[in-house]
Amino acid sequence: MTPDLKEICKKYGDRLYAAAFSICRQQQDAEDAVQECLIRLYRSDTEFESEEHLKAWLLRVTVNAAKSIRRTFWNRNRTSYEEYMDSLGFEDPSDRSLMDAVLALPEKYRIVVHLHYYEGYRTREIAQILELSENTVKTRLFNSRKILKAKLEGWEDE
Amino acid sequence: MNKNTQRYQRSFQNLHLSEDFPERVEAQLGKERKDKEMKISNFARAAAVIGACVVTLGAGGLCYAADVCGIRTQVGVWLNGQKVMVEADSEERGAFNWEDANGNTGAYGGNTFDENGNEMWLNAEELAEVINNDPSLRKVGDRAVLYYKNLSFDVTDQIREDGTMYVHIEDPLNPYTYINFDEIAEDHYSGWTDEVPEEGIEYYELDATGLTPEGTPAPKRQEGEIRAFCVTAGK
Repeated sequence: MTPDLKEICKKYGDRLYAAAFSICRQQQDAEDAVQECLIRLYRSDTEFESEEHLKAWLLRVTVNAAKSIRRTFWNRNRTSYEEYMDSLGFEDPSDRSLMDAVLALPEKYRIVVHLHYYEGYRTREIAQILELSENTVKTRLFNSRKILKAKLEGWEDE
Repeated sequence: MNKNTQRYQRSFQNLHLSEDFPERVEAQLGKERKDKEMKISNFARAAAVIGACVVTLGAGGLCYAADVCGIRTQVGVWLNGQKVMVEADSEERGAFNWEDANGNTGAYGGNTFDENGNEMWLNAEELAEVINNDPSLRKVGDRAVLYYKNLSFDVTDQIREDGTMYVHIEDPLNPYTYINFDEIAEDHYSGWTDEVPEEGIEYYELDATGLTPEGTPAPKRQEGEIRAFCVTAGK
């Protein structure tokens, strides 16, 4: 049985949005991706075996929707990104620096980094969600860490 | 939990959906339910179009292996009334990076469904077709301009007080020709396309300078010519 929409939004909305934003870097596109995911959820006949299964499904569909979003890129500009970031009200400036640094990574790195650090997924699980090989995920994580370490003060070796 | 993870989570926990998001999804779901039967027929039609594209590309000897990195091809797209060639570089399945001759860059991706509702990724040329068949509505200074392929229309006076505008493009090559623009963000409007007109909406024909006065007979057009219609403000 498909859970109630408001419950789903409350439980998963922000984390799906964060995943979509890490790809789109644009509020409206990211919200569109989450909306597309939720609409597919209510269209789908998928039987979810567990909360973990549901969460992984939601993340996979949101990530794919974010990549596929039908929005022309040339209508976007950096002003909207800056304004949105300024509106987030980071308490610590280093939090903003971190998000800027992550969002400056190549797209294919960003989502791997996000699923690892935000969602706590291991390499194998990320590979399943993104339908990539584990080696590809490992390489992208490795390269991302190198870039983040060079850009961010206090980013630790792992 | 290591320090990097803590820092990452603290930073990204600042991201939240808009407060009215659940209501917007609920409204969209209501529309989906209403349009369900029509969408099934859309899937079948999209499958036919995509099938035709694949045959054409195969005959041309081009390779669009879905997940092979670094495939580049040039595709023509209409951008604000001008045809420009963009380089499409396939990076991952269904996602393309683009660059035009002026160095503008960005990403685009898309998918469609076969007759069984299975998801299919679009290649660069199919994406270009989708882009070319989508009208765009942009703010140019204090005016609003509707672009479709090589046409542009000043529609500033046709946008309704609530910010919405209903447009119909009559193009024999494009079945998705009813567009409801409903939201402005930065310098462009977003909207969705439909095969049928919005209920209770009366569309008036536009010419290149704006709206044809009500009651004026539409000029005789050549067969296959593209025409644009939209509602007048307040109606």
